Amino acid sequence: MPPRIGTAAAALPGAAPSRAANPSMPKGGGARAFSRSARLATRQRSAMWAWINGAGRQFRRPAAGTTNYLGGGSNWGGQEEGEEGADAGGRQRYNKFPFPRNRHFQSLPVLSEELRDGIWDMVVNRGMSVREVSARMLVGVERVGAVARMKEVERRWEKEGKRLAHPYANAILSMLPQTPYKPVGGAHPHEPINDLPVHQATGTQLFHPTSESRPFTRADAGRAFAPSLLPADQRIPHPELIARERVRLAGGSAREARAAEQEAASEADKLAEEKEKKERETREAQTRTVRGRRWDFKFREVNADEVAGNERSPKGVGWRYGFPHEDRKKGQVKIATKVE
Amino acid sequence: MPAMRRRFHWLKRPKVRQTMNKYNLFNLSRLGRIGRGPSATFFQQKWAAKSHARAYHGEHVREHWWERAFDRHMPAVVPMDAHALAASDGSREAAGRGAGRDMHERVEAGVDWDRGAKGIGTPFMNMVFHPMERRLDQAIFRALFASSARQARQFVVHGFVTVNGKKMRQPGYLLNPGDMFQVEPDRVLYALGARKDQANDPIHDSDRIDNTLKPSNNQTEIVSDEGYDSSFSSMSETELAAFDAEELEPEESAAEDVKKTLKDLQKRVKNTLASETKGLTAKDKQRYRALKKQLQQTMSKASSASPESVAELEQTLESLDAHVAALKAGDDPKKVAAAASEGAPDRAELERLERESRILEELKKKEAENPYDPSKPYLTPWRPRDWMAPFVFIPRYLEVNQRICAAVYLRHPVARPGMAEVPSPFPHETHQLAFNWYLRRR
Repeated sequence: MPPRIGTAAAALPGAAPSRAANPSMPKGGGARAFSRSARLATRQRSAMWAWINGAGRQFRRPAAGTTNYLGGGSNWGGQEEGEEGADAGGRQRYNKFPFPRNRHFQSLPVLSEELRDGIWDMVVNRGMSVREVSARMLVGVERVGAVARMKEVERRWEKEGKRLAHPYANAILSMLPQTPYKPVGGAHPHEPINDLPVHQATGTQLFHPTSESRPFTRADAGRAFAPSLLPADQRIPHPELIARERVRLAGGSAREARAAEQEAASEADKLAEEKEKKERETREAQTRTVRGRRWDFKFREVNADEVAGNERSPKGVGWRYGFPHEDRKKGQVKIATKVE
Repeated sequence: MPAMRRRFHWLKRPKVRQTMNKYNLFNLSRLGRIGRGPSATFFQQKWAAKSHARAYHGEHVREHWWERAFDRHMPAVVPMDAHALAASDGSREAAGRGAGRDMHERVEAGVDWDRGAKGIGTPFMNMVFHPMERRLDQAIFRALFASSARQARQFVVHGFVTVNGKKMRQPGYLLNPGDMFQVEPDRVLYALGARKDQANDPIHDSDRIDNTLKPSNNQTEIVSDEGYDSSFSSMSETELAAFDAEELEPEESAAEDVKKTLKDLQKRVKNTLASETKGLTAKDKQRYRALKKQLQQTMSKASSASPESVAELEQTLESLDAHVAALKAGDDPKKVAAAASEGAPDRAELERLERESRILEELKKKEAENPYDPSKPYLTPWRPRDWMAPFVFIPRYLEVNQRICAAVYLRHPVARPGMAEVPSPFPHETHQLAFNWYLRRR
């Protein structure tokens, strides 16, 4: 298509920003002013460069030790009030909203390097259970496990002499809020550790007639929603903390409370272990392993009727009369669903 | 994967994308009402909302994939208080036909507290795109291992990513809770580092963060591009504060000053050694030579030499000169040496030497961690890319170890009172409309 005269004529000389006013424009922009194919700066483009060189310049480089997010008012000059400085507890306050229009998403603190080291030390050197460390450091159970796991890899790399991405780590951590490490006294809470997942069965409103003469507890409420729904006391990650609080409320000493907590924790751990062991044993009993040169071949007896409960179900396996194999068809997803 | 849009970061009809681009930052900064507002029909509102939302959430994913992945159930959690659970079995709240017979009075009397958290709602609608966050490429971008979602996808396809230690080449792999994914550190440094051609990028005065605007950040200033790497990665705040004194000088001059001073010092040492060979004792000569060596070492990595270390070296030289001058004046080397060794000045000198060696060690460590290496495809010594800071956040469902460029997908993202974990630039209403769009065939 030949160059359009209309677009070139439409751009008035006043609308195109001069190079003197705008040093970041590409070089040669002014030299080709008479060229018909020259790309003239649109009003949008000049507005962008004005912002980049003006109010937006503060976002080019990180603000050391704190976040540098777009604030509600500060994008166009002027700091949003009450978002910076230190609070009464001495912890750094920071702008925690990376998206000015979405106040429901916050950039929450990440674990500091010292805290990660502390967690790893507790788990590996002092042999504390993940549950215990989580309750002590106020960090979620999964996170404690993940920290210990990745620290192990880090240490292995150090031993092997692999180069770690230290400059990257330092840069990223200095741009993020961090939860500091406090080895003695109460830890800085990193996240709520007793989150109760909202069960799908509780999403609907329920009218459940009961007798007023007998107490209707959380366990009853769970049963009313779904027969197998356990009460919150058993579905949270740290039920042992409830045992501790019960002793405290009954007027027990700190030592008694601690003993009750430990007993409940070991009981919960034992139950989980037993369950896992049972599952593993059932799996092993069903599988026959044949050792190969490079791979082990594992065989399991499968009945197509039993897999999905119904021989006509598409989830059934193997060749079935009247059911063509679909796995060579277009659009069949074959991405692994898990990696072990 | 749909091809890259021709107008990806468009200024005319802006769409916010999952990138750390400066055009994108500008578009994000002026993100206002989506669509034409209340004058539009319901269909138009839904269309605009889903169009903008999808342009950000998994723009590189086919619409069909997303339609299949969409889930109208929004995962949420409620934080529980162990104390409250221990205090009651729930019967008190259930009494009085489910309203809690005496709860109101108890709350008012301060005996109990309002557990309903009635003031804070759970923003379920902000979780519309939660199935997207399970994708491996999305998680890599969220863990800050790539500068855009498309780049994250490329890293997976090109085989730089492992999941639980095994190479995974499927960007659409849905992470399971507990999966550890890892990106080759060199790729991460490439993705988030400054470009190679930015080594001598001129920095304007307005580049500095304005101290009058941010009173708490008066230590964020960066002296020069060269000083930037070392100061950014490992300088303590006090060291940075020392830099503040030089703030008003032009950027390049600080590094040049350091070089110049070092050269001067070298010249002085050389002159002394050449001219006063006879007046010097063997020990003094050794000291001068050691100093000369140190100066050479510092010169070779002038990029990471701090003004303090240079000042220390200068002090050493001056004390040595003074010592030699005293020797000359006294004419008795042994006496002067004894006088120097018995008093405090010698101990101070030793301490200074120790401090110097410590500073040198630190410099060496910094250098080893972040060396100059022209074979790398990114700028070395490494520093973060420009316009990156506004996009740096790590959602809570990931735990990241930046040193080994690995992250663990802890659990699926959830909503909780007042907060949703899916990062999105759009407000609640936009998500609600997009949700309605995808709900229509289900």
